[in-house]
Amino acid sequence: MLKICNLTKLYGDIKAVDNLSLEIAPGEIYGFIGHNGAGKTTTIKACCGIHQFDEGEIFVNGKSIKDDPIGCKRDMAYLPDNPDLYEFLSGVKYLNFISDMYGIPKKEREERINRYAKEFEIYEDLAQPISSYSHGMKQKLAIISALIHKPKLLIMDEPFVGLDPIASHKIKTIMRDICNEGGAIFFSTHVLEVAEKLCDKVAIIKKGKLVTMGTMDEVKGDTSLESVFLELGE
Amino acid sequence: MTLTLIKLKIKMILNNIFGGSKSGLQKGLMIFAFLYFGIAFVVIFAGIFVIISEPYEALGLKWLYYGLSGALAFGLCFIGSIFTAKNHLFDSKDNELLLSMPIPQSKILISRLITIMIFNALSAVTVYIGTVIGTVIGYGFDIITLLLLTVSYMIIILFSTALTAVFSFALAWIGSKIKFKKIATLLVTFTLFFLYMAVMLNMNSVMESIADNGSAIGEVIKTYGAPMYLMGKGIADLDMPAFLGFFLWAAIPFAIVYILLVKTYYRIITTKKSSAKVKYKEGNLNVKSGFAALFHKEVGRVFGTPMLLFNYGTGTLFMIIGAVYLLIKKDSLEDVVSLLSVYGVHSTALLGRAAAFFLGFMSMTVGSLAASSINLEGRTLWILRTVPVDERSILKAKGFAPLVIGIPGVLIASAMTWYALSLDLLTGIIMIAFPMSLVIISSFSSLLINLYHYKFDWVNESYAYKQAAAPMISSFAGMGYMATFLLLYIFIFSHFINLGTYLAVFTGLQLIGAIVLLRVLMTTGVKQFRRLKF
Repeated sequence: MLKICNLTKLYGDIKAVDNLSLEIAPGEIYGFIGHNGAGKTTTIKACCGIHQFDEGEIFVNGKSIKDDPIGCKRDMAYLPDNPDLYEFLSGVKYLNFISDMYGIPKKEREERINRYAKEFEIYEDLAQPISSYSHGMKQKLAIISALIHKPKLLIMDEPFVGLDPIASHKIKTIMRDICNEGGAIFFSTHVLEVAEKLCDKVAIIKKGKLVTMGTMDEVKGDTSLESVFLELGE
Repeated sequence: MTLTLIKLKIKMILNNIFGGSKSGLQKGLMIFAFLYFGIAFVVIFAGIFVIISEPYEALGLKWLYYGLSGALAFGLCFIGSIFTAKNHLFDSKDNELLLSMPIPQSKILISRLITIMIFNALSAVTVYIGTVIGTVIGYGFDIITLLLLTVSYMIIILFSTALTAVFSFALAWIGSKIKFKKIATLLVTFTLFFLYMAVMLNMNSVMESIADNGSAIGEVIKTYGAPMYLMGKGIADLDMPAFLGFFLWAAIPFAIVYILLVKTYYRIITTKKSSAKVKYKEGNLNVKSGFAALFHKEVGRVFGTPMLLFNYGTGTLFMIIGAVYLLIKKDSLEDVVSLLSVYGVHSTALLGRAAAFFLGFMSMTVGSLAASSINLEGRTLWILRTVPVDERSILKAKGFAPLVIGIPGVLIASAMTWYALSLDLLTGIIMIAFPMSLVIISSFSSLLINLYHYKFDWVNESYAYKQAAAPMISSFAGMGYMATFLLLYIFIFSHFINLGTYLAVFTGLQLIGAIVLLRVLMTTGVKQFRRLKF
């Protein structure tokens, strides 16, 4: 579903990501862990087509992000760590805008907007301007906008930040549903307990380089993911 | 502590205006612009006060001279700071941070009020200097008079600050109760602005009528404008009881407002401001194509941001107002000529040129809305980068959005001008096509400028569309272009061709230029859009 081959991204002379390769198969929830400034967000943004990169290649569902960015973006959705949205729009107008971007038919978009809005308990606030939303509400709206076109690949940057326990539980359920239907999830997180329980596979990045990756059992063995992370961080 | 808070606030405001990644040249240009306009206003006010000094003294209305000075200063302070007061007193982003620290509320409040007073002082200083110049030239140099005048202005600043604090609170309270807050804000902003411009543009005739009807006006002011009268009498006649009365008129309201605010400030700024809730109704979604949705979003951003619409929509309004004025004066165009004579228009035959230049200039300002289009994406640029849409559609939407605001206004204003000046068919068509082509070329060029001079890390949105590099470059480039257009005609082409032909040639060149610019946007512009770093 997602294949990163020898990805390198430079900021001036600094290699933010250095020759990184990993592969995510359909049905997998893949965790991406690293210290602050390790290169997680840079990698994620390169996968989503937000940033250009200097070397390597990224394939989404077999399509190159360089050669067919629009085709790749149709199959995936991105959820940022900080939900900066169009404050001048109302919640429903924003979701309608995103639906127009993905060409979702009217009936389907109405059904999905209403369903997800009720699930995430922002239905009553859909007509309010986004500027009046709390951080958590904006995060929920961003989640809905990511799910609305039924992406095959969902890429998330620290998705649980700012979410209440109910919303966190809901998103975990949705993640599992996407994978059960043949999709895949790639997300970064600092909450190692969540990664341990949720992820099928995990990769740990340090100073732009992958230090380890594999199934959860392969990576953590008999210890905890936290112990592995702390040991690799030294 | 209070001084630290004041310094911090002023530093924040100055950093917004002059700081960020602005180059030395940009900062220099901004300072130059501030000084230029400041000096221009001083000259205007000095001229007015010199003119009225002698007749007022002759009529025994010397107090009215100082009273009017005070009223003018008060008006400038009040109108100029009403929205600033709301932002700095009630909506300041560091209110909660400061309240969480061991800082008494009264110190936070007084620091905010003093900051507003400083900005009021900057508004009033042009009137003050003008009055001083008028006083010295008209009445001679008298240290006591000037001292009283100086103290009066300090009192005016105190009074206007109190009043703006009350009004801005009222605005905030009303805003929380009404549904269509943005429309209301826009209407209030436009009303205040046009009031301000109406006074400034008609200053001469207002002052003339005041000079001619001084006695009658003086009686009205004595009855209904007690502070003005007391201030004027106190300075003119060195009447200390009157001056004390004026001081009490200002100090008592300020004290009352301060005491009330101290008691309620914490509650006001920590109470969650809720707007009247709009109920969501299912089934109202419209399906649009990708480009249409992007275009709709761009236009929606302009109409959803009152100050942005105000900054760039004013040009359209001025065009229409000017055209309406021409229509009203259709049968007495000589009146229009006398109004425009200061700008070199000495006959009705030149009105066509003046109208073309005016329409052109206003069209350029509307088109330059696109100069902040990339900036305004700010931290939301990730949305456009992740949706499956061609960047060409994104840039086309941004380039064409200003046309929605500009073209209807241009059409209406040009058509009215055509009729008012009884232009022939061909000239009339060109009078419409010329400004329309300017809106288009201005929009595309401004967008291209913004692609290469962008700013995403703004905190205050107004920085993105008023003070950032691209809007300033676009604004100056537009002025330079129109000045070149006008000078070329006046000094060279008017000897060979008539205005209609000149406009037609420029229209053609502008349309070709617009096509070329669009091509550049669709190729190089797209590549640059992909390289934007945020």
